[in-house]
Amino acid sequence: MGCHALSWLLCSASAVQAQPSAPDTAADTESAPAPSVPVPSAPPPGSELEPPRLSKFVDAEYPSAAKEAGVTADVLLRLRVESDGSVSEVDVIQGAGQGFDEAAVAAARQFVFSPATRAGQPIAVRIPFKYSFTLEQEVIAAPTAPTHGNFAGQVRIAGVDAPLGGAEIRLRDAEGKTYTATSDANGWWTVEDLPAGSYQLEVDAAGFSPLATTEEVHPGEATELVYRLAPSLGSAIVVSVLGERPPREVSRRTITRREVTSVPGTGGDALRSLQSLPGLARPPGLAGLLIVRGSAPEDTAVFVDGDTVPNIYHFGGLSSAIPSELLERIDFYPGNFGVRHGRVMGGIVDVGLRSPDTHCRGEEGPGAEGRCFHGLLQADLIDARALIQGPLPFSGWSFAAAGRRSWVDVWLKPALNALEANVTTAPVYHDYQIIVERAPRAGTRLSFRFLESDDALALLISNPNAGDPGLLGGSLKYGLSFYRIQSLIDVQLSPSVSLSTLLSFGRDRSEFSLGRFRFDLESYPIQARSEFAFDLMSGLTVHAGLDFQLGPFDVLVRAPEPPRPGEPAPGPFSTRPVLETQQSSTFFRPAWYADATWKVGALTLVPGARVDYARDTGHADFSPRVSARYDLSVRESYAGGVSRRTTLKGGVGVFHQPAQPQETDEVFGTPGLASNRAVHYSLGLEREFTDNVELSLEGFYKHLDELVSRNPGPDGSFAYDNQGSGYVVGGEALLKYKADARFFGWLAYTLSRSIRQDNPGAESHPFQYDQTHILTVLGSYKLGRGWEVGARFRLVSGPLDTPTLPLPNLPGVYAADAAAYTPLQGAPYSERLPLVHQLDLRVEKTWRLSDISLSFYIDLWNAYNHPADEQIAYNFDFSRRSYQQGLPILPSLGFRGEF
Amino acid sequence: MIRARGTAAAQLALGLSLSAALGCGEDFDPASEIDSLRVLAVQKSAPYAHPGGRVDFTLLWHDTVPDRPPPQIVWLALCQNPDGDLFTGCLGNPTVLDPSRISRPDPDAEVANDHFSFTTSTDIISSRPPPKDPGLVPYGLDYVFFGVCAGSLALARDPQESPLVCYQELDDEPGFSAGDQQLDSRDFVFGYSAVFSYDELENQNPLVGGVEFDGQLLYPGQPPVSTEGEASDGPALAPEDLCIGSACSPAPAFEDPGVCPEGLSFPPCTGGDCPALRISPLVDPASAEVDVVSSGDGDVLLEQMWVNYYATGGEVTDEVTLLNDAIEGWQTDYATEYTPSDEAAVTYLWAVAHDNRGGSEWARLRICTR
Repeated sequence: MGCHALSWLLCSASAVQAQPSAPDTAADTESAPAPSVPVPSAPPPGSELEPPRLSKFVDAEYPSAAKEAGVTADVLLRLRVESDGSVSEVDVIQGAGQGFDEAAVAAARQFVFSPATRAGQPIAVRIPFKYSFTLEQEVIAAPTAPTHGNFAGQVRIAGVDAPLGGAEIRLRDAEGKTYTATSDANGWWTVEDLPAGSYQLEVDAAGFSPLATTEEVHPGEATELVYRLAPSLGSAIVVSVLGERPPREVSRRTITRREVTSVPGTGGDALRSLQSLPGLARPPGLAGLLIVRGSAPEDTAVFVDGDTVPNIYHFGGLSSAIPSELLERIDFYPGNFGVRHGRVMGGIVDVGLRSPDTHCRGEEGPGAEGRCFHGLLQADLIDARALIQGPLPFSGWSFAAAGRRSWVDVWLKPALNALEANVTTAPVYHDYQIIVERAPRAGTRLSFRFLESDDALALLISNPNAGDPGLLGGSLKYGLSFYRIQSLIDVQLSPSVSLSTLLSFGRDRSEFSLGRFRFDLESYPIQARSEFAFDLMSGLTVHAGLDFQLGPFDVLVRAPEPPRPGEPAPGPFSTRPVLETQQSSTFFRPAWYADATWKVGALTLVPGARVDYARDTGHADFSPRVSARYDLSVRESYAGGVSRRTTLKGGVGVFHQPAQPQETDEVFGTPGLASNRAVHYSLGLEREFTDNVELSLEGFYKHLDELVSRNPGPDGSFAYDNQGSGYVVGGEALLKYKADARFFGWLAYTLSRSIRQDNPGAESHPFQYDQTHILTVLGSYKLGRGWEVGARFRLVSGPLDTPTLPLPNLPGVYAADAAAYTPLQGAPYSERLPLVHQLDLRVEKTWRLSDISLSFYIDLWNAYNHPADEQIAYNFDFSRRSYQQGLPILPSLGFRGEF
Repeated sequence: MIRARGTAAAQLALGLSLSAALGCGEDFDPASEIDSLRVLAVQKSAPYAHPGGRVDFTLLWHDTVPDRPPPQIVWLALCQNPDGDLFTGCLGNPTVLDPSRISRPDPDAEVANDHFSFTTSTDIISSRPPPKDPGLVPYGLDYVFFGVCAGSLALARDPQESPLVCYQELDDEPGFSAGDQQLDSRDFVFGYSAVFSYDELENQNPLVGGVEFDGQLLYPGQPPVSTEGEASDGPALAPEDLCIGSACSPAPAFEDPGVCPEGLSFPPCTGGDCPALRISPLVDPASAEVDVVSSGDGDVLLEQMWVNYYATGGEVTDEVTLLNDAIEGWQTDYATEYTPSDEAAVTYLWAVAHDNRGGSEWARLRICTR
């Protein structure tokens, strides 16, 4: 038995000491972004950086249980090597559990190096180090006079320093024989048993600049290197592939940048691609609503780096309010989310903005005479957008500025006017974003952002709808806008304590008026979110944070009392007396939370709790939650093969959602309502089959009670109470082929049932957004020569509707004052419309012209023209019916240019 | 951050509307096409009543089936201040058991029971809880239901759905029985009118004086006048040619196409050569009153008003047009276009002006294609 380090990775040595001109050096210093050109085993010319060399190696103690079980493992460490050659810090980058991590750390702390030097001067650096635990018999079994060696490494993304899966590695020996490998989700790849000698190595990944270098494979040795690929010209859209760090939540679905840009039917829109994930239902029509695991859209919150925003889609779901180009990640938590998030009982979408791309191209190394500014211009039939980003002339600062404006109004306004709708403002939206950021060293970031989004529509409907002429006619105004000024500060306070803080100020404005009716809300939310992370000991990290929301608001609502879903049709609104409420107040919703990530061997346990208070309702809520992940097996290389990761996961948690403002309003609602409550249960399994193929299965159950419901009170008037209840039960499956150099795709299936009961004596009924089956199959393939084709097929249970009474009953009653019929309805949501199936296709062609990349794409929505049945449509007296269909075949053409 | 269900609901409505606008669906016959028994309007003498005040109703109906007796019409004013102010709260749950609030049809009468009167309760306002909105003027609410049947009327077995059934007697058993044929919505209209009572507030019905049609200004009992003000030398219009509101007697289902004066006679629309004749009621802009109940926050809102058009033949381009917008005000062009029938016939056109506070008034015009 023995332990040995296979190699340590000179290529990514990082200078710790700040140099006067550190950002201009080619080394991967902590005060500068990662090198633009991936660094092979030798430093780039001119840097004069000599990496540290290991002079004293210490064997780690092999964990006894693992040894008896014959388990081997690799532990990837990051060492800080001081200028005197000692090791002062050891971080586990990728652990193996079962005691390997602790053993490797203990051994590495005793290593002694010849220090790294720059211009001959010793400096402190950080280096990755892979500690491999192998069993003795394997060593013994190795040839005594080896002629072959292994070659392995990791591919990471320059700048964000995240592992990059799906990269293709090609090794060509002197005779032209080629060996290939593909990096896995953690960026790792291995080619075993290579003849010793010199190899031409090429690393290629879609959306990244390819890398070519020469490497040596020595007999009897394993060579391991880290390569950092820089985003290519064609990747101003950078939604980073996240590493597989163990989540604090049971399920986190992450969409990679490759997937974002290529999912058919989304026009390359990152947030619209969310709707292809399991757990998300198909929204009705063009409504850009997030319907998560049978919950109402308002039960799901959207965050931008922890900051809530009122909407992520421009109206109609045409495109996202935050452009894909600025996204670093999209995390979607369909349920059982961690204590960081609260105030909702559905799901969470947390969008992370990327740091500006300051990668310099055209010359060797960052800060050289390359071109460090990058831009994008994209246009399609809906909108046009532009982006520019690069370094600022202040040390370490960078910027990104982006903007978009729709031009639907250019062609839709004449069309609407032709239909005799007197359009004042045709549907139009815009958004823009400015980011200024400084990241002086790893783990530390100071970022300021300004985000703005605005949707507007105004028209005069001269021909009111005969269904309710007094309501569905006249002047219509719709406006939804917000802006945010954000500051983010991430600080590594000590080796074991980090602090992440968000401060945000902004304005939200919602305006909707139709004739006499009006909804006008303006608020100035101030949000503060601060979280400490304490690494208390190996395997135990505690997070504690606060999540404050505060803000003055003005609201004016003038409308008849609205019915809640499932209530009988109240008759035409137009003749009902309107109620009005007007408030100027300040909302205050503070929350405190803490959780612990406790990793014990193969088990990761995350208990936590959150306390919320809402001044507007006067209620405090305590929400304990726990999630767990247990690795039944981990990814390991044995002498005879590779075992794959299998993880059992589960969780249970309490979630509270305060009553909606109108529900507690003195005029429209009932003051004093408690929060809606949900208890989420989930149990699932993740299984890795190959480097690219993995399966995730999860069953879930949501128990809902204390739901705000509307019931007749003792005096005959309707009032809100907390008597509603219900449940959602279902399962999700995701079979995914993670992106490699050519292909990605997945099959997602959700089976669910969502039921509500308005009060204990009422009959249960399906929830408005219940969809039993949701199947999505998609894939995208790079044909070569710049061509990429993709397809997405969806098969979804039809939406629910409330039918009128069956004949021979009268289906409608004539409301004489409105000159319109109102339906006599049957059981709420008791009719399901036919299955929805749809095929979307996408073809994209990319040309590269020197430093410019041009792409042209066609996104064909509903390719075989099978419009979905969206709702039941009736004739004027409800005696005849048919299905109102949605969008027919709809092509979207666009081009994108990047430099 | 305040998150409101209203925002999601608005997005949902907008998304569905956009989808529907861009999508497809079956084209049903428009409500403006009268080809069966229909109720076109119900006018109240006082759209806003006072407690203890009398309200008179006039029901505008038309039946296109010839040789059929006038419809059986029943009135029921048995429901006041139902739960949640919802008309559904009245179905099967009468709150006022007063025989004087019921008007039954006489099966042998030669005219329809299309008028009704009742007196609101004196405590119609005080008997209900005060409004939750302190700015809302206290009110009381009566629902007056009516059934208009081209057969016989009977009480329904399940009054929670529709309290009445309309049937054609086919067997010898009295009342509605299994051997009878239940009539559907082509021969039966069940409806209601809501009567809001206020202590002080009043509302007037729209003021309709005549009709502008095909470049002519038409007033009851007067010869046509061109829109330029030139008087026609033709005869004065008879009440059958043009009538306003309660002055209109029921129109016959069939007449000879030669009954119309020259200016109201047109060749049938054949071979694609179809004139588009502009028609609109002549409504006094003073009809647009201030909607006191809806006004607030310093806003002075006018009534929302519109015109419904109906025709027994030919085609109406816009079945509803905006007359007055609560914010934008009076609309100068609220006309629609009418394409005459493609066969020789007498056609009746109705233009019914409504306001959002229960007021209505109509004009009926007879034209001929020959």
